[in-house]
Amino acid sequence: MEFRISAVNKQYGDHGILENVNLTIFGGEIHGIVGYNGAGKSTMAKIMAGMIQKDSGKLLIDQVEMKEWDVHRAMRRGVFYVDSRTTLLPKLSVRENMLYGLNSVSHIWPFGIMRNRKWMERELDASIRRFGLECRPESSVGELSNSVREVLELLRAKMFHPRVLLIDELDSNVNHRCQEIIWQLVREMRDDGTAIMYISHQVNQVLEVSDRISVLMDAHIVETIRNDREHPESMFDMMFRMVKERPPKTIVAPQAKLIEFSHISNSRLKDFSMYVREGEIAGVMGLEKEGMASIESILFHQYHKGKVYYRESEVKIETPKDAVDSGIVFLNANVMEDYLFSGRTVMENMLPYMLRVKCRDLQKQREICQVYLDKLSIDVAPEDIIDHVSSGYQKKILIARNILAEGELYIFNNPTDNIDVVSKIDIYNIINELKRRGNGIILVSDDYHEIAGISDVIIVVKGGEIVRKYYNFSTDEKIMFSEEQKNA
Amino acid sequence: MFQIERLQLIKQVLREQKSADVIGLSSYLKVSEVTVRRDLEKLEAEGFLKRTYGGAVLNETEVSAEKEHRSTEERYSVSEKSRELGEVGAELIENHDVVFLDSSECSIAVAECLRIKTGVVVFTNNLRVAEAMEQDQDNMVILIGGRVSHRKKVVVSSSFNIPFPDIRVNKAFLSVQGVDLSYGLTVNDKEDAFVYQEIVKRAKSKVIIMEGTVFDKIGLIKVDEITNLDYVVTNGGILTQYKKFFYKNGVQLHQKFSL
Repeated sequence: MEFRISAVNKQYGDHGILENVNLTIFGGEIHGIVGYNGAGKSTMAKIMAGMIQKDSGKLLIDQVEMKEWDVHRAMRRGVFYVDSRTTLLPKLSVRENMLYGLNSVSHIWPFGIMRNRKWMERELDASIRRFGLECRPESSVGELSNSVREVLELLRAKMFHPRVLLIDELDSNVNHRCQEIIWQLVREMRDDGTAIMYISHQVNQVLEVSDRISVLMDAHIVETIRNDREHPESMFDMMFRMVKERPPKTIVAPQAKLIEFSHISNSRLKDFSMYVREGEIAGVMGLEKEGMASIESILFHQYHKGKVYYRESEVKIETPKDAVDSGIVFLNANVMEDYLFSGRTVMENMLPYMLRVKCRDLQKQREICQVYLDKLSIDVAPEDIIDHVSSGYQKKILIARNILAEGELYIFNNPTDNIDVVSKIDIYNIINELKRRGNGIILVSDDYHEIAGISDVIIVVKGGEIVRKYYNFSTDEKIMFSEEQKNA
Repeated sequence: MFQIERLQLIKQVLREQKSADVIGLSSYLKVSEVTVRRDLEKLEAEGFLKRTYGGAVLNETEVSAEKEHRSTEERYSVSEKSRELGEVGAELIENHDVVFLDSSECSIAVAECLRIKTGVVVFTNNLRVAEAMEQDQDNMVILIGGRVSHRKKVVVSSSFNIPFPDIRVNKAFLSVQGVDLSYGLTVNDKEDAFVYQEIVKRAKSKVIIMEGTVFDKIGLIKVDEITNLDYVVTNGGILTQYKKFFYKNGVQLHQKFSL
């Protein structure tokens, strides 16, 4: 079994997300794909699954070109796609979910072995027992935890006996035990001869399970290597060196302490302590995007123990207003849902409420907006509707809003996720400018390169605890990967 | 009021009282403490004061020297653009670093910003750089040898067969007049070209200062390829395709954003 994509291109507007991508996956092998958020991994998988159409290039199965390709044709050929958006129906039971659709598929996908309902039910019960899943076939799917649901997604795919399985980021919100079950299922399918593509931006997950690994960067596959489990440091090293990009690093002498988190603990965090000074960027890696182990819950007082100090005096920050009053400006990752006013103009989105109340003159507002559009190299007009603006520009517009709020401490949660390279560089330089002006910055990110590139202090969190803290007060880079792996 | 007015007021307060605190200044000037801190930073970079925890003190030596200097000679002042680039460039320099500054205006701006650093050794062929560092007691400037061009205020060595000194620097700061994706980096002056080619052989990394106007321009003499650069310092005029190109080719791209 060989599934190959050759010279595949895909563009969204003038953003080339995939350029001349070549990849072959083989049956009986787990092929890991890594790359930053927004690098195009999902797009590539969806093209392979027939969910999105490529602009050009070829798709070949066992060296035969598939001239037309869509989801039906894909499934007919045994190509299935699974991601973390669960397709299980919450109101139906586990059994109903696992078995529905099988009947309609069975006559178009010629299973190797005869399938019948009773056989499937026995398989399902056996699997639940074997893995010790906390669910019964009669349980309603809606009652189950997210982790269990993801296991069931994969289990259902397994029951189809796929020839090719494309797994897209199935490990973000899964607890440790279910993660192990997922890996076991994946290995069993590989041993059965399925060609598996395992996509994740979490490098250590991919290293755990893959036989070969390809890195998707700059819109194409940069390199494919065999996974050397004996020497994980060399894997990390190689991957780090493959990335040529060097975020700009400046040196500014830090001054007084701005914020200090002291022994913060909650259900997911243990003894989290760190501080940030004026003119300093603290990079934090290993926190989650949301929930109890996120920077949000550290800041907004969702903890049982610990204190927060701002400029050496204790503060209790419970609402965004408390934060702003203290001089803290917070920008989370889910830009569209959390921050932008859909359907409104750029100007309305950029100027914070306070500014528009103080300055009612529309002409003046427009001027201020244009000033910041120019300052931050945002190539849109104040009257453009925010939904039509690229994600890179949307992020920068929010950063402009934050800057207008004149805070002292800026907290950015995954600021360069899913945005284009040029906006990324601009955001690094804008963050450096904020640093230069004596502000403090907390940068939370999964991007190793970004954190190692611009931070002065690097804090690595694993399992809710700080495992590594080090200082980066020079313009040369430090190789971080190997440090993290040592503490795994 | 504008920053320039505030700066004058702060200077006045310090001259009279020798010291001031952020909170006091903030209510006196009716601006936020953040703003006061920014102003104090600027004055510190100029050498007028030294910041302390919660405030600032007058830099006694600087003030008297300033008075003297003003009466003797018209200080060369760099353009705003060069100052911005110089500030960004200076931030790449660590304490005890060894650098080379070239004959450009930006180099003068870099030199002026070195006041807050210590132990830096500056090699240069730019007389104005030496001048800018006159009052700087924490850092050292070494002028490399050759004939002095009074017009260009630089030291010229190529036409006299004086060998370029066998120095080693960590970072060389070099300005160019043309940057083109096919034609590479170019300069217009023969002496600048000579210095460029000599210093890059002796520098661990090169910092190329590219003002916005140089992109897609081709100068008279090619000095380098556009690949294999280490740092690029630029301002808003840089074209998008160059930004992308440099970043993807392993260059640390520093761009000044005035917020």
